[in-house]
Amino acid sequence: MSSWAGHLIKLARMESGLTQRELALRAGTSQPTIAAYESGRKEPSLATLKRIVRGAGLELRIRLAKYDDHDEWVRRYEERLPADARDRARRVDEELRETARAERGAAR
Amino acid sequence: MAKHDIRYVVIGGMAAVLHDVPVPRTFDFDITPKRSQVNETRLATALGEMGAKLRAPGLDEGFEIPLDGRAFKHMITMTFVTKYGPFDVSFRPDGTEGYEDLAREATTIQRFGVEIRVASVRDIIRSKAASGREKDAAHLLILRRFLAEHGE
Repeated sequence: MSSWAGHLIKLARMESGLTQRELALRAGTSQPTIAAYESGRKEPSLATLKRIVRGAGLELRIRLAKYDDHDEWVRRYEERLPADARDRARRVDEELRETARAERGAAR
Repeated sequence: MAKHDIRYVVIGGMAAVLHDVPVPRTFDFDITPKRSQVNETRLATALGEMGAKLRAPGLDEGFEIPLDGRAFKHMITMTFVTKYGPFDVSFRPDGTEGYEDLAREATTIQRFGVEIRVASVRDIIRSKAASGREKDAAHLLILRRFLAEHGE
């Protein structure tokens, strides 16, 4: 299970075009450690995360924002839906994706 | 929305789904409407027909508010629960300048017999990157991989 820090490290690598090994070298750590952070097997400290992100030529910026329970509320909303409504939503979701896929295929 | 000729762009997770980006299924529908008195009045009417109730942080149930053209005055984001599901109105999503900004790169698609304007994958990324939310970091990876693989 990937963690937030793991996602951020992957994003930083994607942004900089570095391999795990290259980033590890620049951040003063090892490739297996970067791999473990990215996979969520290990969790870096904030100081380590900042150092790794800096190794990718980026800066970790943190800001405080008002707490928003929107995602939890949507999850509770989904849980309260009757099974048939959830099924319908799943079918609509699949149909929307399939249509987009077909259109992308046709445009090629 | 189409019935009332509302100018809007679908944003967020639903916009990603409409592009077939493999993000998890979403139950809420997010839009960025055009800021104009006429458009906001139309949107308020449509929301009224959808049985929309305003949802506030900490509350599971929505509450009724007068839905007219003034409902959105000075508001940046409003979250509604409608008979069709959660429906969010965001006039200026993170990292964007709102409707005109998003409409520039939006694509028009036809679904369920109506035309829908959908934010570009690039703009979805821009907004999610600016939000800095934990959940968005995971979605950003998926969106960026999709963009690298498929372009728009």
